[in-house]
Amino acid sequence: MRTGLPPLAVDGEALRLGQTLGRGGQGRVVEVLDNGGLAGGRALVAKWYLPSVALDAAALTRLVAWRRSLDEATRAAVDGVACWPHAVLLRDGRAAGVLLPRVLPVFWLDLRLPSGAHGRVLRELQYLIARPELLVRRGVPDVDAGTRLRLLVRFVEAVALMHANDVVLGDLSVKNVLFSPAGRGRVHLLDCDALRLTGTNPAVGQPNSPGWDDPAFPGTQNQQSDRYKLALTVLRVLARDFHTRDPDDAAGLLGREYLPLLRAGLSGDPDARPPTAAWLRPLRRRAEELTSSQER
Amino acid sequence: MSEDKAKLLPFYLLLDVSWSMDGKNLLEANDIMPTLVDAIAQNPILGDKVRFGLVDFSDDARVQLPLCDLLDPNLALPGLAARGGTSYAEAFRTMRKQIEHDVLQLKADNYSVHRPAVFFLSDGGPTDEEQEWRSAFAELTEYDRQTGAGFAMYPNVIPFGVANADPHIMQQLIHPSVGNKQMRMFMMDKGNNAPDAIRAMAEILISSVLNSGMGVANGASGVVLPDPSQLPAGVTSFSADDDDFL
Repeated sequence: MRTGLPPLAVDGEALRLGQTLGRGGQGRVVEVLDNGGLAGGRALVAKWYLPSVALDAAALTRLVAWRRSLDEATRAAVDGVACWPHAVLLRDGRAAGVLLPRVLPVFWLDLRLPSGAHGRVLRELQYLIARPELLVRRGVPDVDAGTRLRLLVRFVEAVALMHANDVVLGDLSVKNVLFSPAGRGRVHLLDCDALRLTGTNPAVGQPNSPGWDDPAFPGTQNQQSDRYKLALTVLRVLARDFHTRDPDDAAGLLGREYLPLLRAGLSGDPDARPPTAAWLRPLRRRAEELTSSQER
Repeated sequence: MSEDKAKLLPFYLLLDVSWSMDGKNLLEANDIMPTLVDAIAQNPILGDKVRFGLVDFSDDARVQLPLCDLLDPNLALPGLAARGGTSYAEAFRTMRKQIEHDVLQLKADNYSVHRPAVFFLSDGGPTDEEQEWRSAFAELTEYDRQTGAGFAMYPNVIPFGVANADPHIMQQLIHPSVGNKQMRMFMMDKGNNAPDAIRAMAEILISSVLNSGMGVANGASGVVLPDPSQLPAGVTSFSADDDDFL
């Protein structure tokens, strides 16, 4: 018989940990071999922060508690699009990391490297923006226009879900959004431990990737800067250009009738930016148009 | 037509190819470039941002790989061979000339350019007179913003020392040595072997290039060095005022 809710914080010593899966700017990700009954048996990883990372234990606990507080359907929806902390990890009684769901195999990509070796990497948004010539050299299949738009729809749906639940994404970058082009498409938001709830502090410092910053909010991030970055993502995925901020570069794939939406999204005036959900119908319509014209 | 072009980050490896580097040391050093190329290939966004060049030195210094985009499909990586003594002065003089040439070229092509970073790898002390290499280093790194005297395009210098590199000399090649943009040096631990240390230095170089390119942790100078707690085994990092080594 179950004796209560799973704890918000788990002692790292109590877990059986496996090999290191990766090292990032903020910490080290390690395989968890035995869930101890957490996460309904879903594979987890332990992300241990570097000692130099300033950690707000209360904010981290808030993120974990927020997910627990969602109704079942919403929680399932969040888990479907985001790598969200399942529990705080303790070391010597202090918050030192988080338990995260392991990234699913569909979000991994095999690359042929220049040396001839093969690499296996996360299918990050940068592979959706990279030019076709480069993808060919890496042996990565390109995605067609309809799929490209469908993936953007999935991305906007994920951000809209977060915004509807008072989450601020903050740092949107080509490395913390994953995608899978198969079927109707899927996206996965990484580094959700760096997200925050509106009106609260972030648990760990929110990075601000250069080249993706919102000129209206140089130092801070909020849902309005999220809207700007969403528009920037749409632009760069359609233009296949990592650096452009010129809406006209997306005119071809987006269609001229939706350009005003993109321009508004990129406006220097935060109040002029359309809410996330405003993108859904235009992008869905455009995805359908492109898909049906491909099928002719 | 893009409004924004990437602000470029030029990196150089200034590599000792004196006779003592011959053999396993040079094999490891030779591996740095293809490994870096593969690492950048896994991050297509970096191809637009990062440029890399290699200058080797012994009695003279030669540009073996001109500053380039490592994702260029026509890239031909040079092979390295040992050849002579160890003139730090020649290394610094050639590096200065090359940086000036490269930065001016990039600016003429309408790029904006971050301050370059130079990873200086040596396995032994200089064979030139102290005065010689000191003044060449000063010409490479000194700049007075007020008067405009010196080299405005001075690079960040990150020394890597293995085998018989002199830690006291290497420490004086850290640039800038003070301030919030100060650099660090990386030295092989005593008792370690040079080829392994060179491979460790390669990891540090590559992670610095990747992290700097991604702008991780908002490194003020554009160059992001690894956290001292995250170094591969057998290597320790020091600042210009550390005196933890005898």
